[in-house]
Amino acid sequence: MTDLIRVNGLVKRYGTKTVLDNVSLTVPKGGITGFIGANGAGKTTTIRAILGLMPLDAGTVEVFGELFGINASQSVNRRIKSRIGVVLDTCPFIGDLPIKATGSIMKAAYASWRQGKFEDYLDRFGLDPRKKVKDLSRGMGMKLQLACALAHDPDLLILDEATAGLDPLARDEVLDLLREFVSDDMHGILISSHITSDLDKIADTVTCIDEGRIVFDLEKDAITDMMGIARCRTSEFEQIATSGFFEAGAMRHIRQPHGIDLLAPDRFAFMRRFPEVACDRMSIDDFMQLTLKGELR
Amino acid sequence: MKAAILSEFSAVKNVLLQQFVIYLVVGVFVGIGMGSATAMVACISAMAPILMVFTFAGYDSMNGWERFRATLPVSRDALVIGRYANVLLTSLATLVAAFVIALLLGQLVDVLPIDAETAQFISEEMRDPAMIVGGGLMGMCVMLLMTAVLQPFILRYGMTKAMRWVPAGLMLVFFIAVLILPQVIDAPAFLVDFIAWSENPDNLPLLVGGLTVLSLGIYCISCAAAMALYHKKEL
Repeated sequence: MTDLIRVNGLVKRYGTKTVLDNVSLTVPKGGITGFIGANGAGKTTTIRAILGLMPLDAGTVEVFGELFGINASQSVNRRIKSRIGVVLDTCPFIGDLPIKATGSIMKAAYASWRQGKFEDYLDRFGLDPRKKVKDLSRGMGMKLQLACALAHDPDLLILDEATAGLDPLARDEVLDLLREFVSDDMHGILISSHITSDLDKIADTVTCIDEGRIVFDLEKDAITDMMGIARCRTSEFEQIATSGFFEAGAMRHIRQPHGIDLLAPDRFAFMRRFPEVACDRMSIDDFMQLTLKGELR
Repeated sequence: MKAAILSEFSAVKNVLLQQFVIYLVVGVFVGIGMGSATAMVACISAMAPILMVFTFAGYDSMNGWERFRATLPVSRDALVIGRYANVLLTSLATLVAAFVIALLLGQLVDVLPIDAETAQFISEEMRDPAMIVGGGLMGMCVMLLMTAVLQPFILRYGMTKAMRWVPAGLMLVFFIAVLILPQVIDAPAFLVDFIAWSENPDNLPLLVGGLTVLSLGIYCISCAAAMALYHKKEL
């Protein structure tokens, strides 16, 4: 599968502070890459780097197989950016302008802009073209961004917290839209989100960043279909630890007030070996917590 | 380039009408108050460049618009050129509109609530449209020079920082000039000679033409400086 985005070894420093430390990730054609991490972990900075919004200290960004960066030429900018739809974490459009005027700005910028499609999305999302941007709620602002991002027929969507602020029904609608977008195996999506349940539903791969470093980059099914989270009492935990099921230093766990949560890399094997211990399907959220905050024994 | 200019223009076209009403009200007050159509056109034309720069700068600092704008399919150079072109084109359009208002004022001079002497003066001015356009052009060019100083800093550092540092820088330049100039030229005598030269109507075309060429030249240099400064800006 060809990669739409290939980020390799990004480094960004501010003085002595390194905010991106050898960050690499990919977004394949036909795939949705979920990008997760705590606040300030480096998600938005990585997205800014991919979009060529800041100079880098090291590393390369390839978009559609072409090197891209802050000082790309006019022709490269036109070639690459016209194929990307962007949704930022806050609605960036000029507050004083009505939604219709926002469409005019986008129409002027994108040769491939389809006004009819934009109007269809406005209708679908219940956005009144006469309403001013500043009067939109956060969720409505996100919908307007999505309408703008999709109306120029992009090949790649880069979404920074696109589902934040949406009510559950609207979120499901947006997730359906994103699934539809990648269904032809020609498009791809990079989506950062705090709402990992959304990524549970749509992501193909999940990349996690913490303190500017990638801590895991896995296929989502490897997490949610294969792994499990065992809810152990202390005595059970000790029994598992001494059973030889895990290699020494490989038991990733978090102590909770009611017991110990243990990461089972193969939950089916775990359940066969320890049928008396409850073992749930792993969610992305649980896996992130175990990876970032868990201890090893 | 066309995409950069048009998208930038689309962002401000809704406020152009509001701004034009402001120009009109202020311009008519100045024109009637001073009893001069040339003063009115000069005043309106002088307001346009600086108001456009502030409008664009205000939008840039709103909701992360500047960052989003940089994700559109245009290069950073094109964004800067688009900004400069829009300020210049809307200023020229305002100059034309101000001239049309002056023509209307000339036609309505008999029905406006102004004294006969002022009406007579405005009627005489209307016989020399080139003088009115020249006045407007000079007003516009002087303010274009000011925006040429401001814009690179506004684009690179944002309006808040630019408005804090540029006046301080200008004051420094002024004091250095006051200290150094007397050693180079006899400034008071030069000013007196220059004013006497510029008051000669025969020299007016040269003055207007010279100021236009000078201000457009500096405006282009400013655009190149802004492009260089904007290249590395983090958005």
